[in-house]
Amino acid sequence: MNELVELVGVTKSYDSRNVAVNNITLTLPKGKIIGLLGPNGSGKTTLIKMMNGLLTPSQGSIKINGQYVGTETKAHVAYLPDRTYLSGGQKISQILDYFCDFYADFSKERALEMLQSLNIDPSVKLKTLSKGNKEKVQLILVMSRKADLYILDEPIAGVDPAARDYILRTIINNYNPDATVIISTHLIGDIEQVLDEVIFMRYGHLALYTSVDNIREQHGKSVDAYFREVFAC
Amino acid sequence: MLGKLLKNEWKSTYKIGGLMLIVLVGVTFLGWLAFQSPMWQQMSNDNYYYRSSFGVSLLNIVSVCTLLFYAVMLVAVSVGIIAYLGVRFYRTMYTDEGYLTHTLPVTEGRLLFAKTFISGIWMLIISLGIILSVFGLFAFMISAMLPAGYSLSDFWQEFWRVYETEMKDMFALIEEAFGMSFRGYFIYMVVSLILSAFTSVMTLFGAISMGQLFTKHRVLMAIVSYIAVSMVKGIFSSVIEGIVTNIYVNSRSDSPAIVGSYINTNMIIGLVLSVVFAALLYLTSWLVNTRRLNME
Repeated sequence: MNELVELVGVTKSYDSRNVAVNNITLTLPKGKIIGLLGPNGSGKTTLIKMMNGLLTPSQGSIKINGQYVGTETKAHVAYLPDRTYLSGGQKISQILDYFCDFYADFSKERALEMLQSLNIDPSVKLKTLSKGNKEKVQLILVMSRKADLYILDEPIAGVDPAARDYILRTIINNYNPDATVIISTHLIGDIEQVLDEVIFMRYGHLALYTSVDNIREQHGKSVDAYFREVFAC
Repeated sequence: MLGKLLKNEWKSTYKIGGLMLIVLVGVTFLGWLAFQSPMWQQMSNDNYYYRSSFGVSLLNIVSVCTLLFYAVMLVAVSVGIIAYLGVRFYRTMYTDEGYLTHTLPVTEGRLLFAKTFISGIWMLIISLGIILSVFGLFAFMISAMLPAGYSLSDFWQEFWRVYETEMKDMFALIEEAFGMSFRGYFIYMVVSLILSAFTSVMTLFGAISMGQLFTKHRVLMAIVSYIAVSMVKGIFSSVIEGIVTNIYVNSRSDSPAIVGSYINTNMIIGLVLSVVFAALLYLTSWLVNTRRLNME
């Protein structure tokens, strides 16, 4: 059994006119790096939130590792949201202890190594760090877990190119090779080289789910160029 | 996991809770200072002669103002702790921090219990602190107003002597005639104090969670929910109280014991209603978090 994520008829609507995710059925395998791509408002974050139990689907079901989203799946999913979800008043060392307490797959040693490589002192409070460093700390926390599924929502948005390189390096060098990584972004050019598969979303619908090689072979284009063609205004 | 949740919840709240306790100690000390003014000594019965010479001095004004400040601070602490706990619950459950809270591998039930239990404990600690502070201030006032040569322990000895010789039998007579139990009332007050610490946070958290059922203006809707819940509870209490009163009036009993029975019934109904409403709102929080969680 190679399926890791199973979405069946997943829909999220806020009212009859506002359907954020519309009837998505999809099965994602283990051991892949998958780009969740689409323009702003296409439903990427809504789908991710449902996979993490932060939004309740209006219809459909989501299974991860054969289990419906819940306590069990949360123990095996490492999630990086598109916002700062840590309390600024806490010291980084306290946050590390917090992750140690709750995530059995969290490696404090690995987190400390990564922090050291960035010259971030674990004894300082999170609020004293720059925006970029805060995002890096969050990424370090997520990538220090030996999870089955990493879901990274816009990990490279709003950071400079050097920071993007660091973030992508951190993801590639630290994820559990047996795991699947879902990276949501609209900065396709920056992450294209690390992707195995892509999911295109448009207006809440699944527009395409295929491998990167398939796009290159069938369309003779890069993912970025193909994306621009598909989503041309 | 519940133990870890409780530990982390305590670690996150003890600084503000502790600060409020320090504020209570500080204002109680100010209350003691206020009663060091000679004005209070002059007001005692044994110094009646000096009362005519009691005038408005700067020290007296400062003393009275300090006591007013004490009263304001006591209200500020009691409102402050519930506001802090409510804001913290909202922040950690339904804002950006909620993204971490709700992706922890723990059940929503345990999460809610940990937050409610620790918040309830803080409400209880602060309530006890306020009661101790008021008793302390009362003791300072008595000390300040005692005639020269009398100590506070002399006062209490005298108080108990008067109680044993003159009041105890009277209280026993009242208890017997009206079917009341002052010891029972004391136990009721202790139980009410403990329960109200928890029911108040359950009600508050329930109202905040109800606000999450709306797609827009969730904070405003949480406030509206809290007011609506308080109003419904008030109406419900009034209706039941009215029914109970009607039953007692219609009983046409001549026995004085009916007074105690009426008071006891109303007290128990009030307590049960508080617990039932709090339980309903706790259930609402649980349902919102398990079935209707929609993080913005």
